[in-house]
Amino acid sequence: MSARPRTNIPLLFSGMLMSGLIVSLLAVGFLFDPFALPNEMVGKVAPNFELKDLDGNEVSLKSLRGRPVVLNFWSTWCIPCKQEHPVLVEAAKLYPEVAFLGVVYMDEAEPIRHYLRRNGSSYPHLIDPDSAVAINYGVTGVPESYFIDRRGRIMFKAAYPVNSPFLAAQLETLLGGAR
Amino acid sequence: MRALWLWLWIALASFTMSQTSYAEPEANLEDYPDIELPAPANAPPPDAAVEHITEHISRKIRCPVCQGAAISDSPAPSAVNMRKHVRQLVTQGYTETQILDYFSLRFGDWVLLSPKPEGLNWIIWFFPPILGGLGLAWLGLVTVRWRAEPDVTPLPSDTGSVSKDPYEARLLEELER
Repeated sequence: MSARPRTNIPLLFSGMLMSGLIVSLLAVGFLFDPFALPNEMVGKVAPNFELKDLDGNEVSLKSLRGRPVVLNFWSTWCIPCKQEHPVLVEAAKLYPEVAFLGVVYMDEAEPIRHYLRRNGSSYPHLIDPDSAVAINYGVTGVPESYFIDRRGRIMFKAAYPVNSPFLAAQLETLLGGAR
Repeated sequence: MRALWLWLWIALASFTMSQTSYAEPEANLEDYPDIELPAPANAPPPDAAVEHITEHISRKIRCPVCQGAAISDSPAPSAVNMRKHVRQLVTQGYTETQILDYFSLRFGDWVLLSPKPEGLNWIIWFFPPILGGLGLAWLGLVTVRWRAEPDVTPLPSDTGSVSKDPYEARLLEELER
């Protein structure tokens, strides 16, 4: 007749504690989207830039201080950018007090001109050589839109194509319900 | 053993709580974080060294559109542009720390292939070796105890007592011949 082995309580307790810790960490991991990138720029002062539009006119962000700005990084090879383009064009007409700027991301001036001729536009589109401004804003892909308040602070960032209700809500917030 | 685990748990919880910060409501633009580049910390390096420094720093920056690759190893256009940006900053005399800070301020610490050894990141740097060390120590302890402890139920033949089982008694008798 063999004696029943004694249960090692401290070992059992430690094992349960460690297992609980590991399972908790894994459970917390499920709360986050592994493909979502951090919005580091939100809450910071928007870096200034001076870029030329398709007609060669220089545009600087500083010159727009006092007006809310929507800065949209886009390109013609990006399908979601084309989907949101009419939404932005319409919003720029509806909200003339907001400055809309398109920044061309890794694309050439000619395809942009061609696209805008066919699909229309209501705001300037700026050429960003070597994506210097995009890097300065931490852009990881397109479309990305930055919503900048009158004082030059980045209030929101949308790393996806915006739709009309979302855009209207952000613009109303930027305008502070002044309309 | 229980006390050790308890202390480890308390230390980890206290450290995590001490790292949690809550932003105060900001009223003035001057209070908002300004991420404009400061002046370069160094004089511009000689032309011959620029490429080497650029390569060294580019190995530490993650390509945003690749799977865990550095911008130095990626042919993706965005990685190429980021390398150009690094080269420009190096040419102006910015140090490695300034350049890595520049990218992490804009893209987040995610963009650094090696997380900075600060704040909660210390857990990443030290937790695995500590855990591994504790595991090895536990394994050693268990092995030593296992070898030192006698069997819980020794065989009757080991204790010298005569078995009442006729089969075992006969077996032992046969073996002793």
